[in-house]
Amino acid sequence: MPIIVNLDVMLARRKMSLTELSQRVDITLANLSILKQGKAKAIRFSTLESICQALECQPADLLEFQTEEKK
Amino acid sequence: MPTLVSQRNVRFIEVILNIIWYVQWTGIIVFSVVFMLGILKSGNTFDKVPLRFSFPMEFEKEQPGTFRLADGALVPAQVQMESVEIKLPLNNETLLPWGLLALLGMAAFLMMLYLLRKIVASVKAELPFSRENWNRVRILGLLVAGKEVAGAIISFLAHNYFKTRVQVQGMKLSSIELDIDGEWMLMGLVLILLAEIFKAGAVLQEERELTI
Repeated sequence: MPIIVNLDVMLARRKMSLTELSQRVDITLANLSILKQGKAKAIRFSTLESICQALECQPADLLEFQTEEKK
Repeated sequence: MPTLVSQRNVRFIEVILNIIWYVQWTGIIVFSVVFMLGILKSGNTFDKVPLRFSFPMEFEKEQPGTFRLADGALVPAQVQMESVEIKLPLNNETLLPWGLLALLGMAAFLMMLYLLRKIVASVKAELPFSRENWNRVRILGLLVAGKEVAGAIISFLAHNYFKTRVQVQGMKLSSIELDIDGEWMLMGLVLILLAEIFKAGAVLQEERELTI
């Protein structure tokens, strides 16, 4: 999928675990795991807002667009 | 959060289906036992076999009768007798293939009930749109349409088979046409079409589940 979710990068920068983030944003660990693994098909703005607030970052820090050639 | 389905309606359907399921199983077991007993016993007399294999056939016989008019007058009328029941002993070897076909028909109906129960269980769990249900509804449609066609063909063949072997004095045995009930065929096709709708629903459900 061309849209890459850099959740693991942001978690490392903020020194936070996935479990901790799950508790902060009230999203299940399973769903965050799906997001982290790049298996999600879509993300709600409300979810994006919650994650950005918890990680104190911008959506652009989390989402990246890569074309097939760049990969 | 409002529920997706009416649990009360689903429970009602579930109860009805369960009753039919257990009645059908009982019927199959009883039929199988009696059928096996009939095969194992020797001879073709009615005395040795507790139950008979009944098969409806169409005979033509016109009997003179009367018809009472509104003013009370009686006028002569011709009464056409069309359908009779032929009873044959179950242990007749020539009936073995027909008995097995009857069992096959019961098994097909049992399969339909099984699929319906699975669908109802998934609806009760508020997960109606899944690939499994798409497959179940599709098979259900094929079974409904197929059973109707198969039943019509078997009935036609059985009638012509028994026609050559049964004789009743004074009665003429009529032929039957291959009669496929269009309504059941249509229902089968509708179910196959519904399966495609379930498939679309399953795709939407999967997307919904993968939307964080």
